[in-house]
Amino acid sequence: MQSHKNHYLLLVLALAIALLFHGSSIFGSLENTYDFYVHVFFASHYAESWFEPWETKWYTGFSLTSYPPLTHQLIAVLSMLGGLKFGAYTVGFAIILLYVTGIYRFSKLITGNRQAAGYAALVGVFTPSVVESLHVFGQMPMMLGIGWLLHSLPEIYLWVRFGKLKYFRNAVSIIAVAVCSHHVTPIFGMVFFVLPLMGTAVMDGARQEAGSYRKVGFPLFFKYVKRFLPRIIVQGAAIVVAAVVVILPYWILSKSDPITQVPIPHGSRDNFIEVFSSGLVFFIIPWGFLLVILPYALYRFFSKRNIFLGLSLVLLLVLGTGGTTPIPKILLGENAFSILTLERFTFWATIFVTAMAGEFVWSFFEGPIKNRILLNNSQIAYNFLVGFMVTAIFCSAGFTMNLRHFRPLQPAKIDVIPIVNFINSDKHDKWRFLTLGFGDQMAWLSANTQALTIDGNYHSARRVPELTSRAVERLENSKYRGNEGIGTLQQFLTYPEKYHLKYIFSNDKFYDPILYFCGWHRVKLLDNGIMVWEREDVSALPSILPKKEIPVYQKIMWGVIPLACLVFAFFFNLQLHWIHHIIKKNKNRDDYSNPEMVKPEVHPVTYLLSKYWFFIMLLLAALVIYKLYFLNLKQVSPTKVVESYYDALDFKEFSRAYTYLEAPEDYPVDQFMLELSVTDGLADSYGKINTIKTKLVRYNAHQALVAVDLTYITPLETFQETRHHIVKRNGFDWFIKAEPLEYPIPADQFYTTQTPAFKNQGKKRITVEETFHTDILDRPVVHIMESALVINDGAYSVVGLLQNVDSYPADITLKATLFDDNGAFLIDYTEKFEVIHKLSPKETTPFKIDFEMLGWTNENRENDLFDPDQFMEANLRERACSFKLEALATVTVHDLYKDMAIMNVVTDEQGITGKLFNQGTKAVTIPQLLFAYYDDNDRLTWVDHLFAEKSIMPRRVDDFTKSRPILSQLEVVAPAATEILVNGLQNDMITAKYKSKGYPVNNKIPVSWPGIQSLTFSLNNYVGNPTPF
Amino acid sequence: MTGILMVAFWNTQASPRVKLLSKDTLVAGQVEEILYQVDRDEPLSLRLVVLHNFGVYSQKATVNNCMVSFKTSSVIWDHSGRFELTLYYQDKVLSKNIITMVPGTSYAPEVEAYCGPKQILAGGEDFTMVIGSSLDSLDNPWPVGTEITYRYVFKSHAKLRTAKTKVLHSYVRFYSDNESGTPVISVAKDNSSRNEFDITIYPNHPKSFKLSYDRAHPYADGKQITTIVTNEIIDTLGNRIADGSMVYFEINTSYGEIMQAMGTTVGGIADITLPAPAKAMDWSVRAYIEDYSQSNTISIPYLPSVKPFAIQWTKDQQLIIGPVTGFLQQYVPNYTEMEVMICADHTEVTRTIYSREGMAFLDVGEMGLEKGTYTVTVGCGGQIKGKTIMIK
Repeated sequence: MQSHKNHYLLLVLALAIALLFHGSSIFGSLENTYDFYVHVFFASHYAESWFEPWETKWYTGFSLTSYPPLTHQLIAVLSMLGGLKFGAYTVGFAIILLYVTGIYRFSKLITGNRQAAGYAALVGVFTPSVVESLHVFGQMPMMLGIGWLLHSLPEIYLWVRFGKLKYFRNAVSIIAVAVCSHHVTPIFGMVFFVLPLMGTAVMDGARQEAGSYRKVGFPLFFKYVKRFLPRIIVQGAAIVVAAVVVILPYWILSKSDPITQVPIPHGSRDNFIEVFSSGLVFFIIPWGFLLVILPYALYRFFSKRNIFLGLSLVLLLVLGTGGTTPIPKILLGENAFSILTLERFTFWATIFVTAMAGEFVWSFFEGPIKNRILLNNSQIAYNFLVGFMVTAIFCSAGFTMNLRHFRPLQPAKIDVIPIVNFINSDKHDKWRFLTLGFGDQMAWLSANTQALTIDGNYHSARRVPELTSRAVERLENSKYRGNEGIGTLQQFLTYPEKYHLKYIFSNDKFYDPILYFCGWHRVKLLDNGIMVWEREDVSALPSILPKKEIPVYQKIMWGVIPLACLVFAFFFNLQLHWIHHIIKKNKNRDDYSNPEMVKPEVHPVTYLLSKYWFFIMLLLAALVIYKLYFLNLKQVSPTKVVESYYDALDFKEFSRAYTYLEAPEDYPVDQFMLELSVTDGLADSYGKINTIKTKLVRYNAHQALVAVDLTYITPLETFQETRHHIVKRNGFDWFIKAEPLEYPIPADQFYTTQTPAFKNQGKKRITVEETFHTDILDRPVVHIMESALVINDGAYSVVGLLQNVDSYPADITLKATLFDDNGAFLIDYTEKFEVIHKLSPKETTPFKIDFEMLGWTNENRENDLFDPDQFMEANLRERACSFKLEALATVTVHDLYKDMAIMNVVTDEQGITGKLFNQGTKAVTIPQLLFAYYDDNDRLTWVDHLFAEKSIMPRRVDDFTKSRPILSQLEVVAPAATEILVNGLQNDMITAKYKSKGYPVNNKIPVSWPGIQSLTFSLNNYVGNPTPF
Repeated sequence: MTGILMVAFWNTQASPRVKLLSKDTLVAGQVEEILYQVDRDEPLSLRLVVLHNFGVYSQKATVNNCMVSFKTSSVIWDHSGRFELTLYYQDKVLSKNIITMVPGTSYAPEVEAYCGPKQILAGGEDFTMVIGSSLDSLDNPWPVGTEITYRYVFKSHAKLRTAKTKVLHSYVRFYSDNESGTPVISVAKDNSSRNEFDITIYPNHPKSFKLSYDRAHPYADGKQITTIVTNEIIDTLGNRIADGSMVYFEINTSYGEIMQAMGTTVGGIADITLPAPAKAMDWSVRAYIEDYSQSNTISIPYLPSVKPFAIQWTKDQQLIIGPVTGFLQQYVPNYTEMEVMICADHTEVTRTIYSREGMAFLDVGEMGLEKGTYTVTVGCGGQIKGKTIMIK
């Protein structure tokens, strides 16, 4: 009786600690997890329209029947009381309670030891995988699912063992709720939990007849299998039927709309030894302190009673190792391996081990292990081990819970109110928007607005081919997805009209250059520091959007069944239980123990194994610490110090970088940092060093010359650079000889420039109506001076020259369409980098339109190196023979900084060299040079560009070098367009009216390159920080 | 009994006779009901079907005191035009009438007008078209042939045009003046008017222009700013060209280098600023507005700014250059660029170094060159000095 009370006390203690430990941090952690806001967003949908599962806000619309709804519906119901976040936190608390009681019941079932179950509940509070799932990944439905599953297991056991219908009813009702919470958990749970547990039930039945497990042989076992088989079949069938029926709309959708998309790379499939970070996140952290008791758990699970659970555990353990061994791939098959995220196998394995850890801890504190330790060791040694164990449990869980502080998982919290206000004003919600650098907070923004985004945070529901054909989880964080990420984003930015995408909310300066050079411009800096970018000439969304209807009965099922299941489960499992308690008729069994299950002594081999395993773990920890220490020695060799220096610069740790320099006295750290701040540019401001390769050129004991090859990744292009450093030894450490910045000092302390300032007032009347006819400016007149369709190196391009002949500055949008020799449409595409989008009056720009394939298929590119230049040319089915051009222009007042000059241009066999000079008053962060090449017939045949690496400060100069293009494969397919439309009018009419009669194009520089007679250049200047932002 | 039978027969067989009491021509919005007289005083239910350009409309009413009245509450009665009325009793047509609704012209009309394009070229070739229509209070256009007045005012002259409406509207074209600016146009009928329209006449093709330059001194010190400026650029009609127009400046140096700078006009004048070259040379400058006009070519000579200087080779393998003095005998500005070329039979190393307080240093020992004899050439501001050195 004492024990009975004690274990309840332990359970109550565990619940209290769980609420304290998880509850106190849940408010800080959940909002920084990967998935929390997605679930809140789904809940917001149910709160708004419970019975309509079609969600239009993400992608091009998707059905919420693609995800089990219970968690979201619960949040939605609770949100009626105190808002969405209140609902989510309340469900979070419920999850914690459900899980702790569940692990208690599961542990009691497999250990048959109530005390051990009480300890298991305590240990379960700190299970690192659970902490990680909830507080790092925010997987609320999965946690809810596992909670229900754990509660269903005793009922299933009792049904199989004793055949009472009430257990069957209880089990099925709980499984139904589990399916509604997270269908994957009970479905896999069937294989990994339910079936092995049925084996245990059979074994217990056989033991009852034999009197001891030792006496249970195969014949007896199979006899009981035969006896229990009908119950097993009924139970299995009931689970399957429940799983199918309660979320029937999900299965119908899965069948009619299967997931046909390129798998998203996931760290859980990595080789954990090669990719240490994945190993850390998906193996070491979730296992945490449980690794120490793994041998004990395995030993206990491989007892005769639990042998099937033991096999299941080993299987889960192996599957959880991802790509470290080939076994998971062989077991799951290539297809399933690349779709499933394997960390959940580790999660389930840790649930097994947690349940058994209770017994270990019981044994350690008051059972045979304690006795065994004290047999050979002193009380002090035992106390030390107790201290170690408690510290390991606390540290492991505490570290996991606070992982976000060591490595931020999400950008800092963004106040969405200013963005919502922007979207709601002036009908901005008539277009789609896109967020950049928001992390999962984009879902929170969507939950707060009615506006649509082309992106989303639920990749299974993507329907846009540009997204489904690529392993890009979302556009929002595309920079982390290498070449495919940036490539996909570029497609959306280049051709926004296709998606009615007009506004971008950027929280990451990394994307600024790509936005600018794709023709977007800054509109406003919101109060929360988010920059709003806009693209001209994008049509508004149609008033009726495509929608996939599902039958009414499915809508009703989806809206009613999950909560009904929950009510039934409560009624059967709590209410009846309670009533029975009151009328003293509680006949439910709650005891699974038998004398054989609680061992009075620990097996010597297990004890020995656990002991040495403990030492191995200690050794491993020491090794990791040593490795970390060695990694931290930054100046042990000449090459190492150079690597450390660039590593520090890359992470903007300028003070640390300075400590690697052998700097003269008159070169303090302030000077060093100041010099860095005035030499930004594409690589330094927007780039990330991808590789640092060092080579010793000369070396002696005191001095060395080190060559370093640097590869920078930028949103636009990849830069490569080789630098040389003299490295000197001082004591044990090496230092880089400082090279203070030297550059000519510009003239004039104070100067003025004359630049026109433009303002388009837009709506002059303050009204919420459409802009009045009289307030809309006419489209500026531009004309295409020449154009041609060329094929170079197998890829088609349309090149040309365009002039703004208007008196207002113009923002241009171009589109070229290719046709085959029958005049049939082949492809169309818009301009990307090779054009100046914002033109002053009378300014000209060359342009080149490449035809990019929309989306890749069936190519696994996840291991490719990042390459922002990534471009997939279109694979046309027919040879293109003719083309059509369309140009649109609107009046612009943005990004018209033109005060740049090109100096000292010299051309030779290799290419062009020269200098860029900034005449004006703003720093040009990224200067772009556009080159137009003319053939022997003085015909424009090719256009390419160069992004200068360094920014150009006012009145300062920097060099550029451009190698000559290789155009030996170039062929002009069509020297003129079949039709050119400018603002919907014929280009010929405009040319006839506006083209002057006397002057040819002036600024051609003669060159003697094969196939090129002359060239011209133009400048496009990206100002990173224009005033008044 | 016979009488009852007769009434029953009459009721089922004979249709009532009706007469439209409303006038044939009515003013839209001023009609309250359509009234028919019926030849019997029984509560018969009659249906009126109205056919109009805007659609079909049906309404029921009951005979009362030998009269049936159909209220004109539907918006369809607000429109002007031809209304075809058909009155039914059960499925029998009792009468067919046509009435005409005319717009209300007894009060001042509202004027609806549009104007475009709003930006046109000066010179009389381009025009803007103004469309006007007068409407009653229910948006019904006044009858065909209504005269609308169009007024145009720009600077000191005004134009007045009238045009009669054809179907719904009338229009006139105002051709551009030779002068650029912002004319105002108004559209009026009687005493009603429409808000004014502003249109912009913008300058026509730019004419050729002239260049001039300004600088602090004639020396090629690599630093001082030379400003090259156009005169006020005007179009062929004498208008100053639009602000922000792009003028490209092209410079050819006597060393065969090419430079290009861009300037946008403000008040018809564009300027560019360029640093002086680092060595003596001549610039030949020309500017143009692409495809439209170009300037004269001017020449800007630059004189040498650096006096001959000395080079020393020290025992600790250092090159000391200087003192380098400028055109006023002053030390050249700090960070003046110097090109150092170190040559031997198979080696050629180039370094750019910068002066401080007129001096520049190069630690050749650190460069890791092989031992031997080298020729050093140092170029600064067009002055070139050489020296032979021995690396030990």
